[in-house]
Amino acid sequence: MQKTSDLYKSLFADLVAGKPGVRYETRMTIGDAGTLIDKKGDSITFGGVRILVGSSGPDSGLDESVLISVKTALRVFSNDTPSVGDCVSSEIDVSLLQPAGTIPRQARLVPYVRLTDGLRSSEWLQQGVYFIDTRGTSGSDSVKKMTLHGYDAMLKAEADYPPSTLQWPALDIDVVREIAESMGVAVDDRTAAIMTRGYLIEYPADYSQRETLGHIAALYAGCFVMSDLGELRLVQLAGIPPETRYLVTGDGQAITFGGVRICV
Amino acid sequence: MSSIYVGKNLRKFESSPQFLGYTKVVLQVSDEIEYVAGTDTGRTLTLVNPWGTQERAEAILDQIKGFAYQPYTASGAIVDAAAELGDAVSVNGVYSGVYGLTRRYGGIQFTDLNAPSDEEIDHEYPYKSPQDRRVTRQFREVRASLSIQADRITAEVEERKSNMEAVMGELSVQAGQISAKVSKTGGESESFAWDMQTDHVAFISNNTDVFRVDKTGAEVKGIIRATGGKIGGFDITQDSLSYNNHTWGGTNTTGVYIGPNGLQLGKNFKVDSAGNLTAASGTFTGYVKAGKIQYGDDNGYLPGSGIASHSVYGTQIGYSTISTAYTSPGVNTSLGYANFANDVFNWRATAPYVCCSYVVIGGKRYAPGTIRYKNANDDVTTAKVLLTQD
Repeated sequence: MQKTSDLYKSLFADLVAGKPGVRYETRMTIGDAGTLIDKKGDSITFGGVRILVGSSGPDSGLDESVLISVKTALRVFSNDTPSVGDCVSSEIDVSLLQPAGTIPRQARLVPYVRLTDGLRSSEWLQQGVYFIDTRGTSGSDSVKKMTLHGYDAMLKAEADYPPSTLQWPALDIDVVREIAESMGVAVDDRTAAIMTRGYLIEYPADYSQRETLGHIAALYAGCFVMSDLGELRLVQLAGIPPETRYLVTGDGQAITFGGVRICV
Repeated sequence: MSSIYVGKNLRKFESSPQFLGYTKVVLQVSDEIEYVAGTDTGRTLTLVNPWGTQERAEAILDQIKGFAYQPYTASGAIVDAAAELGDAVSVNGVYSGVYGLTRRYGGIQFTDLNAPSDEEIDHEYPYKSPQDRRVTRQFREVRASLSIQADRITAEVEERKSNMEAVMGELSVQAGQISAKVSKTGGESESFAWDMQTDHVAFISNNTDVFRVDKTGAEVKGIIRATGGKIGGFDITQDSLSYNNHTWGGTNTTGVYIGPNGLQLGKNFKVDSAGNLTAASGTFTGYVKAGKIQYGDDNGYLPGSGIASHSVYGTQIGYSTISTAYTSPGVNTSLGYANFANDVFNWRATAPYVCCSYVVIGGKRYAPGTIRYKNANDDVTTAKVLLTQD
């Protein structure tokens, strides 16, 4: 779970309670840097405002005036049964009003959300990093819509093991880091915290990076996924904490008595 | 891991009975090799892993032992956008994990989350994971790898013969070294390798150099067996060692033969296997011990000219060694005189005269003297007589 501020927690409690005016606000950045441009190199504008992309942050991304729908699908297991050793790529489907310019091939898509009550707004929460795989257009000449379908960076691991600087057999966490570097992503801190057994891995000449990740994940009874921040993360099958039976509010906050949580 | 709370903030909810807790892990490495940990009292996790070992199967079981998976599906739920895969979730009175997450972004952001299960299999039949279905794929018994890095090329081939025994071959090429090794693990572990570097090449058995060659020469630890060869001019044949093609009984002035017949140096020295020495001459600086000495063509004749004066001596000469038949005339003449003297003194012969300064008769000495006396004519005369000296 991503860390959130007290303001966010408060606004979420209001959302769950059904307080009027509290809602999620969604933004989407497209591309890696700079602004969207057309084939002539001119900036693409929306209502005269240039559309900034990725590195500029969500404040300058596409908002709900352009976005029609955004849906993400994430899962740990590759099939409908609990398993270990999987490396499933999550997907995104975006429907938006087609911009005048060209969206780069395999452009980076990053959705963001935040809570607002109209007066106060929480911080933006990143909701994954995706890359366009397919695109389509529909609609009339006056209002053209574009649909984008993308996957996260896990598909980049579907390649042979890269040239290595490791001494083989190599430590499992070093292998994961080397693969992550090849994918162009970082390794989630929680992954290193789990991978402490120091397994020695033989050079995976016969396996893709993804298969190698899967075999390593299996040794830790888990699967690899991409986190909401676009980092490589190991999720263990039995990694959920024990049930606590704390008394909680409607939004899941523990009810305390004199600062002490109440068990039921 | 974190926990999120959904409660009843959802449109639709379904769940299935909780699975039995995991009590067993089956880790399959190949069609023939698998490692099992745990017991059959609960649920079994079956997985495929090329780097599996018994120890790792035990470790995987440690990580999931007792964990009871709770399937559920929650649709149209109000879920915190900060929630992630792997979080624990309390939903509609059920406690489980977020293993599937579908977000539909909007003002409320309704979310579907689940812990999927194939209920038909789970309820009625023993569990088999998708990885277990991949077991039908043929696994190679031999695994090969080739690694090309900036500073080395490494090739490995491993054949896993059983859970406990494997044979591996390795070839490594670096800028300053080429090495190869074949090793067997399990049972009687052993290995053999060769290692070539800029200054030497070595053959290694069980991590010990057994043959090493460098600029100073070759060193062998162990036995060298050869049916032939040439070393330093010496020819090694199947049953002999020779120099200058020398043979037993050969006439080469220079040459060596060592073989089952004996030892021969040139044409003038040899010792046969019976110990018989044949040489043109010899100098002994120490003692010569022999049962018999036979000299030259006339065996048994040792000329006195070959013996230095006073060089033959001892306390005794053996019985009947010397007789007058083999002594010089001078010795025989002297012995004859001795025999005559012995005969004279034993009244077996008469000496014409005896010359001496005195005689001893009855223990008294008598020497010739002269006495003066008056004869019948009253004349003084002398006479020679023996006079006592004592």
